[in-house]
Amino acid sequence: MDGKKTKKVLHKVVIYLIFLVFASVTILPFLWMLSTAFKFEQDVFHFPIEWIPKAIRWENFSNVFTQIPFTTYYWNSIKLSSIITFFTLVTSALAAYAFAKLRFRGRDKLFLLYLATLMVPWQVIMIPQFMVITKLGLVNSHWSLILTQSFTPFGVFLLRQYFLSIPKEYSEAAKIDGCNDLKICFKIITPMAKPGFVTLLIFQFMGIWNDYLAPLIFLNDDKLRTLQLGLRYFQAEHSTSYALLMAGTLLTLVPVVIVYIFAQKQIMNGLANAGGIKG
Amino acid sequence: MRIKRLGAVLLAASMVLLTACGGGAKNGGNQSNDKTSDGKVKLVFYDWTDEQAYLDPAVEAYNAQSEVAEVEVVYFPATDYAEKILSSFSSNTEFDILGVNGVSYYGDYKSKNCLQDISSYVKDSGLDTSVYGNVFEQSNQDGIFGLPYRQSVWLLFVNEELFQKNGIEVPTKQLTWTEYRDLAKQLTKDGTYGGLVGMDNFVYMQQMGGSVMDKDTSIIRQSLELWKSLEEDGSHVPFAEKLELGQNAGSLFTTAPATKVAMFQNGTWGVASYNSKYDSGEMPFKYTVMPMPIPEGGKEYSAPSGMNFLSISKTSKHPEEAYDFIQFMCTYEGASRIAEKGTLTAYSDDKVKEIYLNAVKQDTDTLAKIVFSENNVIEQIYDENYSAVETILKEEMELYMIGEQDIDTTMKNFEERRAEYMK
Amino acid sequence: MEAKTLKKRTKLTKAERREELIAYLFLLPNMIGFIIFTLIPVVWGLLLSFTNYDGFGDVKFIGLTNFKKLFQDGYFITSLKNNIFYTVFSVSFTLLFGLLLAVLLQKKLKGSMAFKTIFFFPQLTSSVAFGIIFVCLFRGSGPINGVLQAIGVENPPKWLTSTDWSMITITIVSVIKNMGYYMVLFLAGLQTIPVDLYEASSLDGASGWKQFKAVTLPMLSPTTFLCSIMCLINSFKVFDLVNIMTDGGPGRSSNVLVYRIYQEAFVNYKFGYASTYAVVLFLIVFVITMIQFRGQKKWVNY
Repeated sequence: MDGKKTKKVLHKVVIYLIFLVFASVTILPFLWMLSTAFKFEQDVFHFPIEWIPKAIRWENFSNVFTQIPFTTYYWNSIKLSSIITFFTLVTSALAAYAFAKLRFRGRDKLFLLYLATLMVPWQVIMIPQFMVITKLGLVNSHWSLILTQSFTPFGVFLLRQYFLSIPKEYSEAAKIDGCNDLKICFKIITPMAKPGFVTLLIFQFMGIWNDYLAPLIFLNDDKLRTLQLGLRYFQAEHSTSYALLMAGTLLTLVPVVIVYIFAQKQIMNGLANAGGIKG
Repeated sequence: MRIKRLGAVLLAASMVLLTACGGGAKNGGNQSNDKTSDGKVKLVFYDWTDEQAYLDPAVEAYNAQSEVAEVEVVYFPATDYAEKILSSFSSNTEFDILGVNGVSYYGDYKSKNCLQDISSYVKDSGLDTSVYGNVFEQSNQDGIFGLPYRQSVWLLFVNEELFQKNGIEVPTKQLTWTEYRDLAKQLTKDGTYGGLVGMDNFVYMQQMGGSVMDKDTSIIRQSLELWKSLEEDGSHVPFAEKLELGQNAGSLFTTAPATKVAMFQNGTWGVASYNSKYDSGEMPFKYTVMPMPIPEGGKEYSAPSGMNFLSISKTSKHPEEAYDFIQFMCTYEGASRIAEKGTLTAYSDDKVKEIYLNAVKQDTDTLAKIVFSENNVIEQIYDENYSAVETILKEEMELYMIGEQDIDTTMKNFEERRAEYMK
Repeated sequence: MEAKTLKKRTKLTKAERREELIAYLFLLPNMIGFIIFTLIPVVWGLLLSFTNYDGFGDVKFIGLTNFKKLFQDGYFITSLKNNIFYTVFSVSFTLLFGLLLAVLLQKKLKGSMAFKTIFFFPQLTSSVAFGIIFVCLFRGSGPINGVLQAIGVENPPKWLTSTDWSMITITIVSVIKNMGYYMVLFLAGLQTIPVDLYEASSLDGASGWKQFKAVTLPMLSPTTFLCSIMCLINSFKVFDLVNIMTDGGPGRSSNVLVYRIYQEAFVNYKFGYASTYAVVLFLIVFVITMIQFRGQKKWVNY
């Protein structure tokens, strides 16, 4: 009994040690960002580095707001990230259900086609995509971003995989009970694949939030621009304002951290749900 | 039932979202078709963010006096400006005026037929383009595709305090590269470097009339060897350190513990920017300037000089009005306002010169001698393959400068790879 | 071909046909957008490889000229080699660490949530900011070398300024950035495994490593498949970190395929030629994916 207990404690200690090693690596860039955000520009490259700045400059944060229309950009980013994430979740779920749970001719080939488009770098697609957007008269509107990013093959791929991992028996049982496919998709499969769903939500929200090249190409008006595009302002042609850039970046982190933590809580609840349906 | 309700909610939600975004679409694209309420043509002008501080006042002045057009400037991040312009051209996005960053881009856009020829407008307006000097004449052999609104000249920015600390006076006469090298050595002490080479520049090469396209590469070779010798003296910030910082290397002079670099090779764009850094306290010392060193027996005050242009996009439907604006910006009216912000304009008469010199707040007339010198040389001669070949040279030069290959290999590789590319 | 499909069609029962129709209806919303905004630009972009398109407007069909040129291009060979190095190491370490962290977090020890957020932090930051931060951390006089010197390493690596290290440094940074991404994917996969399967295997007396092999790995295989394909595809598309941290240098030591595509397209204005790179990149990734796709039947448990 005692031996088992020590083994368990030892087990825990090892896990925490591993956690600490990885955490120290991933938190390092954050600490640098945090400390730089409060520094005077001339202290940024002080050698050796001052992790806790001797002179703190709060103005970095207010300057971010005065030098660029930060609030407008913030709102645009929140709006775009939410809308695109919403559309992605709905359309991907439907398509993924078809790929994972329904049989039709050419299914695997069509799926491969979806996958194949992921293999072409954006740098090559950018100009053709922009031409499509121009032809449709969508340049310089949020529509250009919503329409180009809401139908990501990645979302379909991701959800398909999680849907596949749900045993057939669940949907078959529901079918026998007389449920139609729409109901099975949203009432049975989706809740069971909630972790996958929520993961897509995080990734998509985060991806749109941090994207800057597409907004750069598709948008002109200042009042339509997004945060990441705004932050580029601090990287001028010949010099970067590190302190302001980091202060700005720190401020952009807030919504994604909230979304992430909220979503992770949902994932933890996912397990209970999955079990519940069976019962 | 529940599914229906869910469907209804989703539908309603999408409707709300659709209408919410509708606002954006209305602002789309072709604004220049619109006229303002008082019948003026609306012009859209693209430029990059670094230019905002001195362009805004000039544009405002134009809009206040013009009876033909109203200009709206759209600024894009400097780092991605070229991509933005390229994609706008490729998809025929309608816009009227663009800022062109240097002779190289000017040549590219010109040869890709993306700029409108304004020769006839220039002729009709009676504008004398000789005011823009040699560089402009050299880059317009076959028609005029834009007017230069500002220029830049290479010079040395100096941290005078570091000179004083070493008991050395800032020289008032122009140095040769050998004298400069000695001076840099004297200034190197206790963690301070005598000099810092700014962007990847080939100043010496340009002063000698060389180019990366030269068949005979001996000038390029000398230029690299000079650079390497500065590094080997220990009197210049090591190339590796500069490489890590990329475009931000200048911060080693301005902001990094400001005792690091005594002389910084950079362009006149630094003047306005360092003045504002000094005012805000970010740059803790007052800089002064020295002319760029010259090759032995070279012409006095001959530094490489570059130009930025205002051009009319091929997609503009209002070239006449756009020219009206460009001419305003590139002659006294616009130039005086740009110069007021301490930025060197391409147009310069005595009045603009005076405005500029007042704005830059220098104690001596050294800056005037540097920027208004007749002997300044064009930074680069346009060639279709210039960018690609320059990339090859930079790659080989990097390996040479960090000590991973010697000069013979470097030059051999460069010549071979250039030949292969041009094939 | 025609006869075969016809024969197949006659064999479909009414129920099967109904299922097909439903499937197409489900696919429709996504597929319309997918075709217009992804598929058409992708095909268009790849077709440019047979042209001399310069990005500004002129297009001329030039057949296979670009492809012939590509295989003699020193840049292509260098960037391909660099990319393969990057792919091999970044994919294996990213997936390994991602899975390790997910499995350990699954044990729900105290503080897991905090750790999970910390591990994911690099993903939350934009790659622009992340790259800039790591340039500063990896500088010769930066904090990382400071630590190394403090613990007695006399000649710490020249992370960003030597040809031996530049690609390694980028690989390290990418693993740090991306392992959190795959950790979250794996975690979601782990959560989807029904509890009763664990209960059943516990009743059979399995625990620990045995249970991991018998239940976790097979049940996780759809996720593992997803992760390995995505990680592979993304590794061939690496661009941001290279662009920000080294510009492909010193020399060409960290030039990768997409970085070269970017240079050809946006610096040299050779879009047609850049597309040729993309076609070859596409074919490489497609073949590897096909192999995985075919192979999945052996190890992926659906």
